[in-house]
Amino acid sequence: MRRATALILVLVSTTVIGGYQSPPPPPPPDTTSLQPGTAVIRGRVLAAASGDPLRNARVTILGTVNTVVHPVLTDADGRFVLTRVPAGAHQITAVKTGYAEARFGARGSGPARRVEVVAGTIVNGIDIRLAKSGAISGRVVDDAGDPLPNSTVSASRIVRVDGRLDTRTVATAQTDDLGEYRLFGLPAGRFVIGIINTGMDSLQNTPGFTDIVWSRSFYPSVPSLAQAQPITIVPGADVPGIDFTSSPTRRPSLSVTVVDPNGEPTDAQVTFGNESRLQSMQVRMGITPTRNTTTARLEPGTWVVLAVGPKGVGMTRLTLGGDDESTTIVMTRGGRLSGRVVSDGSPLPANAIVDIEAAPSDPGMATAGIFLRSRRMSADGTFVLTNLLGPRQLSLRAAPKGWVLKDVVSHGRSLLDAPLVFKGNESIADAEVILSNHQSTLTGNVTTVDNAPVADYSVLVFPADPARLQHAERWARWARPGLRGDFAVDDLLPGDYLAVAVADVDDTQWQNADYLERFRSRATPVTLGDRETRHVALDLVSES
Amino acid sequence: MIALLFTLLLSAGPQSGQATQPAPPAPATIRGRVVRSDNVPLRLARVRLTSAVGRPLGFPVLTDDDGRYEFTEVGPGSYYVLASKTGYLTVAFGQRRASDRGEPIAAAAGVTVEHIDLVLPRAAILAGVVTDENGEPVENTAVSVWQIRFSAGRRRLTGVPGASTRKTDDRGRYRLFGLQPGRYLVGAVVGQLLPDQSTLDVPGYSRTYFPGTTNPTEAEIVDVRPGQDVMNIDFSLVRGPTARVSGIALSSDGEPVQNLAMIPSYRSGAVATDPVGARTGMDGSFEFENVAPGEYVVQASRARASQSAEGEFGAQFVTVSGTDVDGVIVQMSAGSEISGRVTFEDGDPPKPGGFELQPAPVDLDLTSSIGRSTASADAYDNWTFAMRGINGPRRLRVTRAPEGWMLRRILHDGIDITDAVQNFGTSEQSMSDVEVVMTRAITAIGGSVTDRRGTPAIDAAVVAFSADRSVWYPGSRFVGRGDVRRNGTFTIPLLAPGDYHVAVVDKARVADVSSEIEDPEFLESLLAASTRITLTDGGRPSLALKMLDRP
Repeated sequence: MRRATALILVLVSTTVIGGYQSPPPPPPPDTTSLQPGTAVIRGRVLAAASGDPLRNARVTILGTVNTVVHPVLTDADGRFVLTRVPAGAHQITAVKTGYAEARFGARGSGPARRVEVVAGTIVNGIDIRLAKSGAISGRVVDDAGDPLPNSTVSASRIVRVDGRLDTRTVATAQTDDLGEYRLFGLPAGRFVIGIINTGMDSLQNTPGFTDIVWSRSFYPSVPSLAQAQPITIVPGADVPGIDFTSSPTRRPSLSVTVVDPNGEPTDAQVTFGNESRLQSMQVRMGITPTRNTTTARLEPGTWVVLAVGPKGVGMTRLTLGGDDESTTIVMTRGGRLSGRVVSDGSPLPANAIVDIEAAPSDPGMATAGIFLRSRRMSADGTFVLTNLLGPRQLSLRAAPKGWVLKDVVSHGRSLLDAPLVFKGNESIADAEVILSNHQSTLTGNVTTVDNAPVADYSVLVFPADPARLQHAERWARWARPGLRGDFAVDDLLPGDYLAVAVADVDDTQWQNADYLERFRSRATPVTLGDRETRHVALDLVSES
Repeated sequence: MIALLFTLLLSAGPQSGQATQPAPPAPATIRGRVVRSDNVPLRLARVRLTSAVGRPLGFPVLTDDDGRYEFTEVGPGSYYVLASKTGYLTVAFGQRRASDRGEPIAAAAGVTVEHIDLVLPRAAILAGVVTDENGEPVENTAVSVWQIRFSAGRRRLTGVPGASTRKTDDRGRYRLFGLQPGRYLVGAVVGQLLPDQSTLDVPGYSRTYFPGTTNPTEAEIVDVRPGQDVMNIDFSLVRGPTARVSGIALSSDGEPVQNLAMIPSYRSGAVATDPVGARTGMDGSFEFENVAPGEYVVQASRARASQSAEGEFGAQFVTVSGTDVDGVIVQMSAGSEISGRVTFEDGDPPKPGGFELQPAPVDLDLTSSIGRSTASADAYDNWTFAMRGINGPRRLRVTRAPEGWMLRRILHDGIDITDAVQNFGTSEQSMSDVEVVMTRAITAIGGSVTDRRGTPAIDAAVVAFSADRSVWYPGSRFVGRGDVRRNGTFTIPLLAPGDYHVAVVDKARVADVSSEIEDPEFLESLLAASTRITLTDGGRPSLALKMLDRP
């Protein structure tokens, strides 16, 4: 059976939302067509610097709807038409060779402007401006000056989240037979360049080479992120000569002995974690009572060693230089956290799967703790977390769709707003994990001091409580206006907030207390009750 | 500097069963040096030992700063020595060409074999720029090389060992390295979903071959000579009327299926390319993106249950001509069962084992290109066998026979079905009473090959093929080959009785004889210089053949 059916496009009466920006482009010659129940989004892709249209730019819709809405290429005038778009608020992204990928209305890595569409409508004027991308190139050689082919080099942006430095890899590249690499498509910003692995790493399985590693480093050949020299990329920059030399260095061995509180050998799974992004190696092995020492070859650096077994949990942190070391881990019972999962309103769906996790909040420990298992809520709504050690952050690993973690409360105190530090043998027995399937919403619009409406701005919404400001990922939001010029943040927990409208936001800094704190005096206070939607009118404030 | 030499113990395999010996034989040592073509030592080259059948023995070693390597504690035996390094061709000691295995090293007990030196030629480079139809560079296109090989009855694009796919950069540039010399098609993919790698789904471009065609038969072959840098293989992607092919795939019991692939159909005469993967939904819906015009077959298959059971299979032909094709339905069938027994003429059945029966696929469009492997039945201890989940037209073939036995005929309900094509798929098409008759009258065409001067013509093969063209199909028991041994002799065993042409093939000119003999055109080209013989039941003719002069 074979059936070749031309797509039948049905033209229905349409409402055209358009001209949210100055003059709408003339409609393209064809496909002003709509399928029932869907919308059409039209716009152009333009070069940011010149405003010239860009042809053959790929435009697509982000998220799961991209299985229905197919990516398109812009025509000779830079125009695109996305069809079969379901109703809803969407993010549109565009990319073209030589230009950095950009989402519609986004500033850097910040949120995009939402394109709200209603079924049966055509949205015009979605103009996406692409800045020229930058490139960084160089060569990776060994200590004899020979090229190291098939090495992987990465470019990462440095961001700060809740006061911690973190890296976000933007591009990776492989070296060729000359040891040359080229990282491209980079947006403007500051990047640290590092060798993730060298083409010699496969030798580690060769006898005689198990104790040797070809050194990995950040530019300019330094071992740690803190010493790395970032490269600044402006649109169109082409930075050559970012070269690396990788030498064979000895990997010291670390012998780990695991004993119970009586000094008797005991079973354990041992993992090793290193917070440096270049040394994220984990080793997992079992220790039997007959062989209670295990040895791993590790790269020099500071390691967290975590042991979990029937006798509890144990942890140590040590710095390896060039010499072999040994260490003993004494197991403790660890902390215990138990309680119930409750809903703040409508009951949880039947047979809901809820996984609660107490993830290590120390980056080295987090790397070592990737095998720590989250715990599932039982059928009666109770849960138990055991073997807890070190600083932990409670979170939801799995929950029914639409449900979020509202709070974890014990004796009237939230366990989420301050770090939980376990030293062993603690027991918290009555924790209430409160889930919510509805959140509070803040909407608003922005005007100048002269009351003129502002179409393009950013709104930062952050908690008034300085303690909560330490948890920006949970409490702080950055919103961009939709097509009508208003903004909406629909995933806030109830509480006291501050909202401020600004022209621009630093996308590498905004999730930090010190950055948000500087807007406090100019922000508008707003209190959101449970399931409440509030509207605020904000003045656009000047930068700092 | 770190010491790069170390020792390891190797077991040489065949000699290891000497339990009565009180002391193990003294180990041997093999050592040598690895250099570049200009005699500069190669540091950190990987050297390994393999058995006569290419099985790696022990662990590889690495060369030191002076290119030297050493295997100590080598068990007495015969070894091949191979050296490799990124950017260089892998070479076996004594090797004359890529298809050649090299010379074995005899390592006697307690002996040190010196000067096993290898010269690694630099591998070739192939580089260029990929642009769009406006001449603007395109980044992140996946550029690969292929060769056209005859395999399983079909000219198909095959990947090149050691050559990996590289992506273009923001200047559209690519650089493929580590290439063996050869004749290659160069192609760039952007937009299709490939099963093994993610590329951006870019609409409107077909896989394009240098110098700018979507049809592999129209591609220009790039001849890469040893160590050559072939630059400026620049081409533009072809913007074409691509379309979406969508539909639904269901198992025999109506369950949704996610394992799908689409290939150019064999019937269309196209060169087979890699299957294209689909976006699939949990409800069995599927969508292939950016499909260029052509004749295709969409195949759905389920993972096989066991060695003797293939999975469910379904196929649907699709013609794409620039507009979307919706509503394709791929309905799988559970497959047929084939069972029966093996009988032995003129003699007692041998000990069970060493037997394998396969239902060889005949129509490639109706053969899974994703699940790939064909079922095979071992016989049970009572010499019965069974296979399940067989779909499409097949021929029953005995692919392994007990020592001293070969196939006489295959009967079903008393009717001779040897070499006949049978259709399978439904339970009605199942066969429950298949008799595979084996005979002791085994055949072998043997003899010797000499060149014009009368010396053994090594580096040649002998091909025997039936005078009846209708049995020139892949895996036929009427087509066979044998390599000429170092002493100039050859054997082509277990061909079915009949009239044959026998021809000598110079391996210096035909690289892959085993693949070429599946191509009827190749056999046709051998006819003129062939010797005609009749092979009788149990016949063992011996021929004295001459090899033509090398040019």
